[in-house]
Amino acid sequence: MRKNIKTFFVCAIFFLIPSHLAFSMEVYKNTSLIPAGEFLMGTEEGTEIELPVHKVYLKAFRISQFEVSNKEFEMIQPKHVRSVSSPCDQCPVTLINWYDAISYCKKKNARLPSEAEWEKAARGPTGYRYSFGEISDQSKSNFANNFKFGAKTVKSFQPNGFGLYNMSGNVWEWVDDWFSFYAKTKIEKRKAVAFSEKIVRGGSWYNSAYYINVGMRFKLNPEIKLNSIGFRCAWDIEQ
Amino acid sequence: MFGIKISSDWNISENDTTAEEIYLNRRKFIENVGKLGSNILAFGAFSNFLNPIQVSAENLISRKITRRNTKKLIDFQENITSENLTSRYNNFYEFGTNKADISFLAKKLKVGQWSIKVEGLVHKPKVLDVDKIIQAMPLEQRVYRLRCVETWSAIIPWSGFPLRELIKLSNPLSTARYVKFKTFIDPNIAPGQKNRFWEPWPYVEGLSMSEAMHNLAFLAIGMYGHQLNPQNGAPIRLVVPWKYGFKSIKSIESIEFVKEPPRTFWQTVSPLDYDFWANVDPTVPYAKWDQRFESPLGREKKEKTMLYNGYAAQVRKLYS
Repeated sequence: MRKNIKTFFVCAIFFLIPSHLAFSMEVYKNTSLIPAGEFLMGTEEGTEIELPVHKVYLKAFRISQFEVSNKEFEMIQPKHVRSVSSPCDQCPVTLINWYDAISYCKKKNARLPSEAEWEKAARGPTGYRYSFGEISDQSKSNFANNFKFGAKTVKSFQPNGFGLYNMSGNVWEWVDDWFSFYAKTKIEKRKAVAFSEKIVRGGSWYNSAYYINVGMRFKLNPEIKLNSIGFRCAWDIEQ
Repeated sequence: MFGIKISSDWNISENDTTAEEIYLNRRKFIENVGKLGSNILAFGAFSNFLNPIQVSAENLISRKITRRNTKKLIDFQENITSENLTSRYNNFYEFGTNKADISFLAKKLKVGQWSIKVEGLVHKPKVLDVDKIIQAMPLEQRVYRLRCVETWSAIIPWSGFPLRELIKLSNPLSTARYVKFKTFIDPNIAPGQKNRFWEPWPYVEGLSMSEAMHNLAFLAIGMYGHQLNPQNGAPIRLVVPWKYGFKSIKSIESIEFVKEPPRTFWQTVSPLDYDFWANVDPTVPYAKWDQRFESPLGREKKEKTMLYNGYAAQVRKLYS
């Protein structure tokens, strides 16, 4: 009798939840909401491409807490060949180019995070240098290891203040933007059109602390596949 | 004891190869090195350390002038590679992949306050100031053949000291089997480390302990009679003449004694093309290039490459 009542309530709840909300719950599982607001983008510790440090306002968005895993990616792209540096089901997918990444996110009704979104999310609510804090610490992230060490699973180490894992280290992550200088003048804005490289962020297991500083920018031809570059998806918030 | 040492069997004879102006430049270089150490010149031991060099250099120059004939003069001018070439045709991927750009790009390298970390299997890890190392070591000049894996070659007069002297100073444990060398990492001054971010910086190279202790393994602090140029690996670099040039790591910042062969930069980047040993061997095509012949910089005619780059008599025993 008690079991029947429980079943009745469960069914009733599902009946009452609008279908689009149920869909949202599934899609947004394992994502974090990054609130609207300003943050400081860029770093003075890099080169001219990270300068100037400037304020950016972003609308609220959601971003995956984890890098996309091999298993998740292969449900959509079963022919994907895993890297020996990231071989397990729950290891981050690598050996994918920017187009593979964006195509995967589209199939999840998502997109790649913009460069600004990625940096804001990685800095956490406090605006740290690394996703795990201000001081480089190998016990908090997978970086500065031997090249043979490889990637760890997407849920390794502690998340940052937004609940995001491995923003600094583990594998590099593609973001949506084409590379351009942080535009200061009209000339530079015009120059930026000519660039043909996408941005990757966050460093990987074999990079030193410099590269996992979340303000650092690195550019790469979007067609290149590397065993140290993965991605995660982001979603707009319906207003 | 500081002085010019010319080993009998392996050295490219200075009478045959080294220009007089190189010796004169070297005198200036040695004087400069002396200035670096002027703060300790007050100590008797150090003043003894400097004076014999200058005397020795003068003696060598005068002996050379009296011995050589016109033909020899032509020989040495042809044999030694022009510094114009060796300072403008450089592999130093930290700064880029275009050889012609490196001398310009590497100017950003600040070599003034340079130290080397000694770590790993040692009795006591330490940080050594390069200026002090230079003052403490038995400096000498050696003219070595350099053979790049890309099949170009050069003959260069280096100034420096045997690597084994630094190893003795490092006092490694008996369990140390290999020496791992690392160069600097600073993507803000080295655009290659920024633009080629996916490569495993910093550059790492390694030698077995027996190789590192061999008399020919050399740490250079100068070339052509002056301090090393940044593009040539200032302020201190390895020179291992029987191996392909990429083993001779530049701008060394760390020396670590380890048990296992260290995984080197090129092994990591392209494991099928590069091995740890990388000894010059014309019979084995290596890293995409046919190694039977080489193109000496500044010459049109190719030459046959020699086993162990011509140093087989000295180093063969290491591998038997």
